[in-house]
Amino acid sequence: MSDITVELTVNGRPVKRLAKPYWRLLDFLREELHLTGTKEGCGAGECGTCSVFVDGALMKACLLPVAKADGADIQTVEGLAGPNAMTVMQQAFHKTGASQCGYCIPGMVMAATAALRDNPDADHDEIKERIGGNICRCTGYQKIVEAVELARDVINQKVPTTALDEDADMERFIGGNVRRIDAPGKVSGALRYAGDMTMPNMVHMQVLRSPHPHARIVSLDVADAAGLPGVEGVITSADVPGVDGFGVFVHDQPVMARDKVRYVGEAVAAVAAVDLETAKKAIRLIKVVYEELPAVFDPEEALEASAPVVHDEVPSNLVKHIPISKGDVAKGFADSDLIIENTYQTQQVEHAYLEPEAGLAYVDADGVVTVHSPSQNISHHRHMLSDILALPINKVRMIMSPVGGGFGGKEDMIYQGMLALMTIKTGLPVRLVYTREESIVTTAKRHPARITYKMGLTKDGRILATEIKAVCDGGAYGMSTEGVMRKMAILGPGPYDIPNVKIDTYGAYTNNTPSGAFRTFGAMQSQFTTESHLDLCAERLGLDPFELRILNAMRPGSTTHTQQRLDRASYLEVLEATRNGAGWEAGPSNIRGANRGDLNGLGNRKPCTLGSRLHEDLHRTNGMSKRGRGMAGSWYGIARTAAMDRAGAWVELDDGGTAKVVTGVTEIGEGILTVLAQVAADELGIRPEDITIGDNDTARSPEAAHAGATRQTYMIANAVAMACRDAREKFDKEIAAYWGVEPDQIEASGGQIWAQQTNQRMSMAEAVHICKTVRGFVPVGSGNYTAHHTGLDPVDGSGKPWQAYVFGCQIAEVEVDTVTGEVQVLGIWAAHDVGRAVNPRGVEGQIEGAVVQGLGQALMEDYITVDGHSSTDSFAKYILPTALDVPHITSIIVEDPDPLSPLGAKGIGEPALVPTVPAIMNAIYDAIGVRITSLPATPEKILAALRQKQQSEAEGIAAE
Amino acid sequence: MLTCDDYVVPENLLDALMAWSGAPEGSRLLAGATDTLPWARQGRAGDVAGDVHVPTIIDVSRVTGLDGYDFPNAGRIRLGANVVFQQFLEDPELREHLPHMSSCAMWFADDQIRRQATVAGNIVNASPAADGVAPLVALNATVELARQENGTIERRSVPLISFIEGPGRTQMAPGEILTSISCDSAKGYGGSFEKVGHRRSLVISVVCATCCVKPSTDGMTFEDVRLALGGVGPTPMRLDDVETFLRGQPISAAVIAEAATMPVDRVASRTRRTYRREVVCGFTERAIRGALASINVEIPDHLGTGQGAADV
Repeated sequence: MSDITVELTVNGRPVKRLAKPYWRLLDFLREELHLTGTKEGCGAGECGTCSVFVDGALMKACLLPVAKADGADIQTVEGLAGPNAMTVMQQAFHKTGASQCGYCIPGMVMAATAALRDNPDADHDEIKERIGGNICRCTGYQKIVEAVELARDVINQKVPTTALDEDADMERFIGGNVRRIDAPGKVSGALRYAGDMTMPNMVHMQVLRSPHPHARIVSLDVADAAGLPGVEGVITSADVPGVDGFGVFVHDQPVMARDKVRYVGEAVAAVAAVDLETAKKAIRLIKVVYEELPAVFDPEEALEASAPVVHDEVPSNLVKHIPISKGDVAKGFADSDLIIENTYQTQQVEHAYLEPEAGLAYVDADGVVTVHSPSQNISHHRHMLSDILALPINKVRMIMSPVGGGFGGKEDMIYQGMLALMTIKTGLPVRLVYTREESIVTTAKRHPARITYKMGLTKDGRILATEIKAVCDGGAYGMSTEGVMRKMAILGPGPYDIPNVKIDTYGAYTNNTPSGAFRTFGAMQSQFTTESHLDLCAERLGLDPFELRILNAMRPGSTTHTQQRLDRASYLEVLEATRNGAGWEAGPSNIRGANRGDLNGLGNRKPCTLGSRLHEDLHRTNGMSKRGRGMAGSWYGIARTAAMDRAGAWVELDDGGTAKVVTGVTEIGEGILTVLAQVAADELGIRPEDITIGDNDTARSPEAAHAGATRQTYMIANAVAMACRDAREKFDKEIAAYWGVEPDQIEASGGQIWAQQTNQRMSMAEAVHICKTVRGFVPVGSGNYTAHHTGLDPVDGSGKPWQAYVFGCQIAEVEVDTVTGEVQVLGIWAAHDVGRAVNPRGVEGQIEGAVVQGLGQALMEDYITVDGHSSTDSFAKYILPTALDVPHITSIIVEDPDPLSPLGAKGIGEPALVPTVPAIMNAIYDAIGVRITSLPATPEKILAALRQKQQSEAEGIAAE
Repeated sequence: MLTCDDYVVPENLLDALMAWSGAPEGSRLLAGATDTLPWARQGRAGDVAGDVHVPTIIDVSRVTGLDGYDFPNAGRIRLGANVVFQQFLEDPELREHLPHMSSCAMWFADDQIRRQATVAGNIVNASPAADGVAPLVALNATVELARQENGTIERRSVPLISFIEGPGRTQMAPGEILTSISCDSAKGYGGSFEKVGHRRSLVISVVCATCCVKPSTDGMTFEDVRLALGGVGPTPMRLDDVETFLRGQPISAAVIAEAATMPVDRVASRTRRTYRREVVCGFTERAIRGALASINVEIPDHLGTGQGAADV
């Protein structure tokens, strides 16, 4: 192999290096020059995270062999602004809340910069076209486009540069649109994620994976691999010293396959070597002999007695059955005037966070096994690792590296065990970085569900009985299946006061890619069916879909399906807010599309007309399209399900009137760091920029548990508030003593502290100094917040799974192309009761991102396996929404403060994703009269359904 | 991931041809790399050891004479192999001569990829979803191929519609490099291109339709029409029968509607995919209407008999 010489300019500096002949410019920038702002989100040109300027033209560095850059002038994100500076564009991204997890952001900043360089007057549609090659999974693009428009207007001097600054005059920070405190590191590309981290003598790990869905491992010979020069270590299940089994609920998963493999892509062995090429060569030298076993791929088949057994300890293949029953459904149906039954099917969905899994592990000088990884649940992962490694728990340290998107996919532990084992074996730091394909095919997905639904109503529309049965594919390992089944069941029948319910959810083992935690944790599958079903019922009864919801809505005093009495329920308020916010025209759920008068109003975007920069309208459906509107309601429980939840925090008032806040906070892009800074600022009497939040590290921060269940604002912000109050109580006592006043006279705000009814006043900086030097007291506080949930009865599911619920409603307006079956979602109006919006812009950003994930799952996303083998193993085949696919989203924040939450706040991350899919499906029905009951609603399915409808109408007419 | 032993960047055509004919078995030509690099990752998801190793990569993107375009014959335009898709959007002269290619480019991947992806690469890769091929087929494109024999450059020309034989298969012979594509100039025509996909950007085509249309000077009849479909079979489909039907006919809604029904049976015989058969009719109609709209030609709604609406 002949290395090549490349000579080029990078960010203004001349560079001359040797490079491997097959390196891409991306490899050269990251590995040779350590410019890690340019990312490898997919390696196949499908995501845009690798965008760089080559001689002034924006290109994808993952598709550029490095020789092509010879002689070129390269600009990366690091070169946009000088050191410690931000361009107008970067400042605009900071201002509008365009940055969430940050992983797509450097590439997005580059694409946005290119857009305005090419056309400084680019309008809204042209901006979307020019960032059409960059995928974001967190934001829903709305605030990114706003950022580009703001930057354009500042650069063109239509708007002053002060528009980029923090909102002025915020007396209280809670409730204000404080800019994200972690955005500057993200928009500049400076923040390093796990795959960007390096350590001296680090070795690179690669994993050998099973090619079979179900097979016995007859023999596994790693001798040749271990003997290859450059290889530092090889591990298999034989290397596990402790308990080789982990999982969130049931510890059924080995670190690497033991005795048999249960799904295609399961880890079998791993190699660490001095470089990736050697590691891959060594992988090829591992000899495995498999004996293929009969496999099962359908969950209903898996539950039959004759099915192949996936785990010997569970011959039934049933991971978990959650039953919930209240009243007597048989009687309810007998009393009903109308009974409607239907079957629905949801698909396996891929999380598609832009950061593929990665991790770096080492054993530190004190013998502590340390793993840096973007884990959503370091506390739980540490527990499991300590059992796996047979080490005391404080000899295992999990540090959360910045998370480039999670959505539940980084909640189940997947690869951290291998990293820990390898670093112990080799005595060297070890890094593993997944390829995108590896991430898609081998890590957990959303549970697909087959749901049979039966609802009985009176002719006036009162629901008397709901019966739901869901059979879900849990895949090869249990992971979060039990919890998903539980949440799917508890929330399934929706926010409705129903006297008789019977819900049964079943999670089954199969030899498919495992299903695990994914935003909404089962609630969106079951509520998709409920809200679609209610639309069916509304049509049959001739009722407006809102009226049907209102008639049956949970109200304060209602009893839930688990027989919990709700003291508060804001569903009616949320329904009204959405209906009014969208100007919904009342009417039954027939095909009203052509006749309704509330279409094409404010709050919609135009149908996508590619060609904006050509000044051409390329989208000409010529009357061959139909529009419609649909709605759906939702509810969601906050924090851990049916179990006590807890979070702890420490706070120290620090020099200069600043503060340290330390808690196990898991920022995955949802904005919790900023929320904590706002809360601490208000509680302590200082400003968000004075707050430093400590890292999420099992050895350094108190447990606040995981990012999941929409729990962090509720649990952790409250814990931080408690800790701040504790610190202030102690601090105020000292300052009061110093001033000779009563502690309850002490007030602080915005960095100033004073005693009421006196003229005593000083800065917080001075006060901290006095507290420490004069009073000899270091002002530290601690706090805890507990959510008192109970488990569910194993027979009828009764219990109090949550103390706070978020009610929601969304309306969708769609346009269906009747020639092609393509659907465009033009507008979404989303109302959610968040209790109290700590950062309204942050709440909007979460709603927008959730809506777009919903759109993807409604129309285009489908993780497909055939006999256990994935056919959608790249972003070319697994289709994600781009900036051009998203509707205009109007967020309507409703606030019904939770009385048990000291801050009043509840949450938004998952609730916002629940009603989107059924709202879109109901809108499609309104437009063209076809009801898609199996997701996604692709153009093929819609066209086939349309043709079938036309045919049966024609036959119906012919029969007359 | 693609790996290789050698990566060579020849500067002229003869060097490129010598390197290509002398390269070890399994070597590949590379232009924009936007198909080759993703190809080297496909279907190898769980298998990191499944890297594709190629002995020599010959990068032709810097060979002089392969970029740019000229007009060597009247009524024809010749595109260099290395013309990239972004040029069809940004170059006013190309937009003038190839009015449907700008719409094609607008739908093609995204800005970043368009700056690297070459016309020749799109043709030689011969994916059934290759969007750049149907528009060229509609304009009677030929591809020019070069090879070397004892150090001299030999050339030949092949019609594009026969050059592509099936998915991933062309008539390119060993040692050949595609050097240019020639086609009719559609200057003065209206042009359109549409495709169906599952989203509005970075779309891999399910079906595409393209049309160039020249109305008579009074704007009342079809003087010339070019139509092609992509994605409805293993190779692109030139709708010559529809073109013949339309030439000389009045421009009207009824005539267009009738023309649009014509490809249905032909498409049905070539693809088992129901969806493609379903969309073809409406798509063809849309392609014709779109091409007319792009030059602001009105489409009257009366019947195609040439008689007035009062006769209906």
